[in-house]
Amino acid sequence: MHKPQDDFNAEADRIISAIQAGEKGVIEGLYDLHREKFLQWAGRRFHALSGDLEEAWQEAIVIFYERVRSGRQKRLKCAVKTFLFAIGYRWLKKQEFKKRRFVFLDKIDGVIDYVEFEFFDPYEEEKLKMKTAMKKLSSKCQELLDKRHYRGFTIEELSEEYATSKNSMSAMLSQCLKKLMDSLGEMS
Amino acid sequence: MSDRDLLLIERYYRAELNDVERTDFERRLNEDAEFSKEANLYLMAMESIRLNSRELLKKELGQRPLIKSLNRLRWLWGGIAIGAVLILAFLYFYNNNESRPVPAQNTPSDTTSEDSLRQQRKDFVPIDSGNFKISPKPQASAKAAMRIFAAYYQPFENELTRRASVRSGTAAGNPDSIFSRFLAYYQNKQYEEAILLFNTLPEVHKSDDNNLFFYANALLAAGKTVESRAVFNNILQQGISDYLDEARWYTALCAIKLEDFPGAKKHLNMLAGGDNTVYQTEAANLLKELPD
Repeated sequence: MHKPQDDFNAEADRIISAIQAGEKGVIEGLYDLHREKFLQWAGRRFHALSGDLEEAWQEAIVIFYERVRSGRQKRLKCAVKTFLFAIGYRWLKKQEFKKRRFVFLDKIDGVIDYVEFEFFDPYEEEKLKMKTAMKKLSSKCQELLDKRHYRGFTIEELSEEYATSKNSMSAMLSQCLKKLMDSLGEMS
Repeated sequence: MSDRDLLLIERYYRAELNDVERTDFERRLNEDAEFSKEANLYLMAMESIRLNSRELLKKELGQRPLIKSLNRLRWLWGGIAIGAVLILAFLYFYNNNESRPVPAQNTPSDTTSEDSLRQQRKDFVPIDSGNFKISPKPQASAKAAMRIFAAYYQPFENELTRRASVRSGTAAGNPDSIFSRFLAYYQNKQYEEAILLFNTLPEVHKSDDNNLFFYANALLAAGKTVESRAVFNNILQQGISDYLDEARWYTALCAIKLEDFPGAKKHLNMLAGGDNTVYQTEAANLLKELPD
């Protein structure tokens, strides 16, 4: 017998394969489709600013995208929407936890100060270096590396988009990548 | 580092090496410190790209306009309609009460005798209710739009969509055809799923005007009237779809829903004046109902 669950799974499979295949517009479509509902849903559960809710939804989409692209998310046992809401929920929970845990009252010279600590990220320094190295590249290099290694463009698609041969595109990409690696090497 | 080594590292982390190449690569990683360092730098570079790109993607997503769903608008319109009805009811009641005959000020206080009662009836002066004009124009326009749209709108159906529906239980007949599944969702009134699925179609199918016609219908049925109207307009401008009359009819309905009656009339006149269009009679009837 056909169950609604099958539809959800078929739908999730389809979305996952589309992202894996690098089809354009899927992520944007997903983002738009459930955005308003997520904002309403999360708004009822968290005392958060609308900017935080927006960020949670962006994180949910980006995390889902990265999981699928890296091959860690090959199937879903629920609807994509449910999965995305769960990621957004967990992200908001984490933010809430960070704030609650690290907020305390401290008396200094009779004045009560409300001190809010940022969550300590052991890789913060490394991340900063990585971001700096990336920023040192030309904007074209940044764009090419983003499209090739994050958005899943093939060499063929890139050479078509930039009206150049496949060989030139490969050479450009490896030059950009080498520059980035050199920069990272110098920093470390 | 040589291009060859870089390519090798890239292929290793993309899991594109065969068994022999992989064993060789891993042996080199263990024995060649320089190569191992390069491989680490490659991973760092990938992480740099990821960090940069995710920020970029989040920024891009954040700049997208929020598309309001119909549900909220439906509540809004419902609220406005109820509010309008209550105001009209109050005004009507108030008006009736005020215009009911009341005794004039010089009416004698003694009301017991027949004469005085007769006198009172004679002296009854109706209060002038002429200043009490109700101008419910905006609500009336919205109400008319809703009523007319509801009376004439039906989601588009043809043999193509019906066939898709029959087969939807078994993944729309052809499991490889995304478009068939899109139509199946559409026919099953799962419009949001249909819209999402349509966006996963390859570009060449997504820009096909015949496919876009069904997409625009799904948008309209899902309450995304503005977006739907834009797609229909585009189809009409291109003028190559097999569903041009249909697109014109639904464009007119979109316009009505958005209370753009002149815009709707423009399309309806074309349909009513055209030869052998399916919508000729319906367009003529609908034209008669539109407010001036």
